[in-house]
Formats: sequence, C-alpha cells, structure tokens
Amino acid sequence: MLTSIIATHGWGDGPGPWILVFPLFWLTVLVLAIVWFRRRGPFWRQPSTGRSVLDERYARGEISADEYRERLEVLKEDRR
Amino acid sequence: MSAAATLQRTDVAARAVEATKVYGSARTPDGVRAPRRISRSRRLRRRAARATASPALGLWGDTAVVALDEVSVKFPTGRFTAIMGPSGSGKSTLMHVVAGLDTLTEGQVFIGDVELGTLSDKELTLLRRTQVGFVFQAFNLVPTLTARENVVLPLSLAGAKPDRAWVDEVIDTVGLRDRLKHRPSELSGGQQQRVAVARALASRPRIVFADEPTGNVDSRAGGEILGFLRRAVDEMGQTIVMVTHDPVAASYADRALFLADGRIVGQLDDPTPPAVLDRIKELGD
Repeated sequence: MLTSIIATHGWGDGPGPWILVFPLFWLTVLVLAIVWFRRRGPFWRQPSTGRSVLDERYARGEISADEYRERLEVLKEDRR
Repeated sequence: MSAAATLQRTDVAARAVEATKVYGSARTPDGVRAPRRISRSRRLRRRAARATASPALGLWGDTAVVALDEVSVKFPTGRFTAIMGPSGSGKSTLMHVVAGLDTLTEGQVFIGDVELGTLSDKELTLLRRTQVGFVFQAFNLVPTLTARENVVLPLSLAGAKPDRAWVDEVIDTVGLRDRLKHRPSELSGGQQQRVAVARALASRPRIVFADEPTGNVDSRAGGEILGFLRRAVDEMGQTIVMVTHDPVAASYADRALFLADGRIVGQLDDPTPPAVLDRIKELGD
C-alpha cells in the first residue's frame, strides 16, 4: 500500500538522481579491471615470469630444492 | 625409431669452438663478446664477493681462474661420450657451458645449429626445455610427487602434452614400471636416479647431459643406470654426454675425452676400464 503510493506519487516522473550510481559503478569496475590486468602483464606472458622459470628448472632437476628455495627468496626480495 | 634409422644421422648434436671460461675476473680479453647483462643488485653482490676474496688486489683484483682454455669438441648425434679428468680439470664447466647452464667468456657453443651466445635468456630457457635433458649426481627429484609425476612434470610445466607411448617406452627402458606410484623417499638411490634418467629422456631431447650420474649410488645400481643410458643410446638413438671420474662408468661410453687444466689432453675410442686407467696414469705423470 505504502510502496505503491511512493511508486506512483512519491518520486514524480522518471528516475531520480540515483540512476547515476549505475554507470558510475560499472565505470569503476572497468577501470579496476584494466588496472589489474595491466599490472599482471598480458596473459600470454604469464609462463615466463621468474617464478615459473624457476619452477620449471626445479622440476627438470637443474637446481636442487635448496637452490630453488634460495632463488625464490631472491625473487621475492627483488619484487619487494 | 629403429637403430638403423638413427645410425644414418651422423650430424653433430652439440659442439664447442675454442670455448674459454674464466672465473673470478671482470676483465675480458679484447674482441670478446660483451658480457651478458646482469641485474644491478647481482652485480653489486658479485663485486662485493670479489672484493672480499682478494682485499689486497682491490675491487677488480685479478683472481682469474681459467676453467676452460680454448676447448673445441664435437658431440656426434646418437653417441655416448664420457668426459673424464681430475677435479678442477674443467670437465663440469665444459658440460655446463655446452648445456647452456653457464655462459662462456670467449668462444662459441652450438646445440644443433644454434649458437647459444646469440640467445636471450628466454630463448635459452626455451632451447634447454626442448633440446636438453639433465641427470645430476643428487637426483634432484621433487619429494612430494610420485615417480611418474616427476617424469612428466617438466613436460606439463612447459605446456607440452606428454607423449604417452614414448613416456611408457622410457619408463620400461629404465625398468620403473612397478615403481610409478612411489615417492622418492620410498625409492632406493638407484631407483631415484632411474626416475631422473626417465625424466631427462621424456621430452625427447637432442642431447642428455649426465653429471656424475653414478656418484651417489652403489656400484651395482650404478652399473644398472649406466646400462640404461647405454640402451637409450643404442635403442633410441639418444646422444649422451656424461661427466665422470670413474673408469668403469666411462667404459660404457663410445668415447672418453680426457681433460686437464681446462684443456682436452686425450681421447679414447671404445674405452675399457684398464685402458682408461692406463691413460689416467700416463696423464698424471
């Protein structure tokens, strides 16, 4: 009863100023998404990060577990 | 792949041309390729290490050690080569530079027709991934994975789909069929090294490098591993380069090269343990 009164009379004609919230919301999402992907680098570059090269070398037995851990620490250090 | 088909390939899997490796000096002779770029932090760390190593000689002190001295060598496809020499003779360094694990101070190294010195780090990683297999003295298996997972992990990390039939053949060659679900801790040293051999062969590399593969196992298991390496050469046409100081291990190879003071000082075709021992004695005098 009350809601129908508001719907038909309370807000007058057309949407109020709150409608602006929707485009603003989506714009924010878009900007955040772009920033996020930019920081990660393009997805096809993913396999060549230092970490994955290290993973692969460890898997191939080129470096021992100790060397792997040691170099992982260095990578983290360099990234800050 | 039949043995006859592989015997026709008489090309060279890898070679070094006047390869020189100098450790411990920042100076390089004239006409040498510019040193590989390294990060600033690493450079500073190296500089610090150098300074502490020879305080009397200052920051760029001349503590140079020539590990390889203009070594030229060819590793023919489908052959098993042993590199021998006392410790400090440069045999491990030779293996590391030919395998692309270390860079040269001077000279060139080729895997197939590709000169490693012309490659970026990324290209080198890719080349090692597709063309080179490794077996080390310390096995270097991933302890949390089963034998089979250890064999195929490098392939899946490289984004390649393991060739099941080939992996099966490799696993049978090294006699691991009944140990596939075991973790490294449940395997003997010899079995662990067999897993490492299978892992090295699984990607069908152009060349496999083995650094003292029998150094950490008893002589019986060592003999088995050498037998499997021999089979990989004879039956699969695999090219193998093995660093060892054991005359018995060298006798499994087609050819033994002798290094001393960073130079190749001798060569023996179809080596036998006594012949290798004799040669070592000669070189020692």
